Amino acid sequence: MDRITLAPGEKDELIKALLANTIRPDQLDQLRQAVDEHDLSKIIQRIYDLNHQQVARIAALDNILGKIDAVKNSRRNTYFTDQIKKGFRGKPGNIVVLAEGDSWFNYPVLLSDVLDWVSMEPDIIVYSLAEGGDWLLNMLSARKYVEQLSVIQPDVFLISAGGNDLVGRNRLAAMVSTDDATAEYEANDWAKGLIEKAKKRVKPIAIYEKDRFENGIKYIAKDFYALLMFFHLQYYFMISGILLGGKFPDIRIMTQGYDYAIPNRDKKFGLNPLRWYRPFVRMFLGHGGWLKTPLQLRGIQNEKNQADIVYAMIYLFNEMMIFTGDLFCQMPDMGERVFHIDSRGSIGADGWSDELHPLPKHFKNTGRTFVDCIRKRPSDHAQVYVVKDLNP
Amino acid sequence: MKILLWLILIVLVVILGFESRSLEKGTTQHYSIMQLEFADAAQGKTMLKTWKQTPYAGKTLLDLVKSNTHTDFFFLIVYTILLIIHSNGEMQQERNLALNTLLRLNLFLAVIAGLSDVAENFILLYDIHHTTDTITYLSSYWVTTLKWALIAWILLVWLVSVIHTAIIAQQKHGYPC
Repeated sequence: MDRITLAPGEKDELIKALLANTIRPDQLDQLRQAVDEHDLSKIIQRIYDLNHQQVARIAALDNILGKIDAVKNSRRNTYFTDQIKKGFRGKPGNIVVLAEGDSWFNYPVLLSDVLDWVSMEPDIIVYSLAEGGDWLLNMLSARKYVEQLSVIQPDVFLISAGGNDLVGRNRLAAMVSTDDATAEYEANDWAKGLIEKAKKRVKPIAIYEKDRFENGIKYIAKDFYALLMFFHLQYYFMISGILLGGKFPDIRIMTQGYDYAIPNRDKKFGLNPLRWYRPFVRMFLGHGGWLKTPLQLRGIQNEKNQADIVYAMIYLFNEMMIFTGDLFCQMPDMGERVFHIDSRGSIGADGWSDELHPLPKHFKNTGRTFVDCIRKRPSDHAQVYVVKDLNP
Repeated sequence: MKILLWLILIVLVVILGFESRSLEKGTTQHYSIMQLEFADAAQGKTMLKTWKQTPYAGKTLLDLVKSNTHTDFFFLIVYTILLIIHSNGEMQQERNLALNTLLRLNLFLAVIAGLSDVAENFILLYDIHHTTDTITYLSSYWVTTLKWALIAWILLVWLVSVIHTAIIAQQKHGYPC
């Protein structure tokens, strides 16, 4: 699909419509094919009501966290280089992976994250650029993955991003409303289309809980839909840059979309010594501050409502990712190049280390599903690999 | 970092080993620090009294025990960090979920082992300080037992995992280069 050039002012009008949540699906299609880095920067500044420097500052990684993540990446990447030197790439069937992402791909010290589990496979080596707390916005502007794609020429590119753009620095508070905001969802034909498509699947990818979704939607403000469409544009921009440039003819790209996190501040003190780390991470690593506090900040106190809001957001986020991947799969001569690892419903109420990160066994299940996809194990849902089905 | 810590650990082991040998050679009973750590009140008092009465390098062997205990504070910091680093490194390679979980528990147990050693050292210093007191004596037996049990467990889990991952690695590297 070629890029298009819009008439002067036309693109601005489309961006305005996106921000106002009045954009039509066909207009979003147009904007998607015309958008560039400058436009993406402009959109995020408008969504966050900040200038470019301020956006960069709030999206910047915490210094200490960044250093801890760098240690983990350094160890991983040293191992990667050692394996390359030993001739790993010479053996047919071995797979080289480049990964960019957030804390689901690089969780400091205490947990074995998704990439750890993927890296343990004998026929897979992973070069990691992932940093806990990183924003999709940062990944796109830093473009570290672009350089490494050219150097490493990986067989597979993994990306996990978007969560921090939504929940970092209390941003979630700006995405919700205490007045009934169902009209914002009703006004967005594109978002409604995502859900209609999900409902029509003969074999559902994730169970659609109507009551929960509709209850959550009541609280979701128009800025969330703007952000969701922005994510779509960003991912499309990133993936098309990799696939349509012709430099990586065989590369496969895999995304992931988290699970329904549960806003809470429970410290989970208990007598199980094997879960000793759970109260520790909940006391010291931001638990409660990503979801619960921003929702309470807006006066949303009811726990069910809080959980339903996150349910609806994660549901839409995953459907957006699937839709984005589908666009590439439908391109002529493209084949199945973009895959989505769907973790929805795989973790459960008691499966979380903290508000955003699962227990290691669930990280393992998601990691195993990535491995299934990397090894081209068939999926019942074409390019979507469902964790709950494949690695329950 | 790991290499530096290992070098420091080796230097400390040499220092502690030299002091321990001097202690054992210094008395006819060949009392060692390890014996003191596990001693009950009667044995402990006897050992401390014997060392106090034995001259060594212008002071007494009791001063050497004190110095050895002070050095042990540095030693325990280094070995605790190394236990954490190695358990963590192994954890990130361990595919078996049960072993992976036990290696994660090692991180916590290593801290407890280190804290037990701190408690043990304070007990020993307390007893050294009260050598002349015929009544006051605290036995470090239980904290010492806890410390060694934890260290043994940590090393056992680590070793089992190393063997397990070595078998997996055999698969990984077992291709013609």
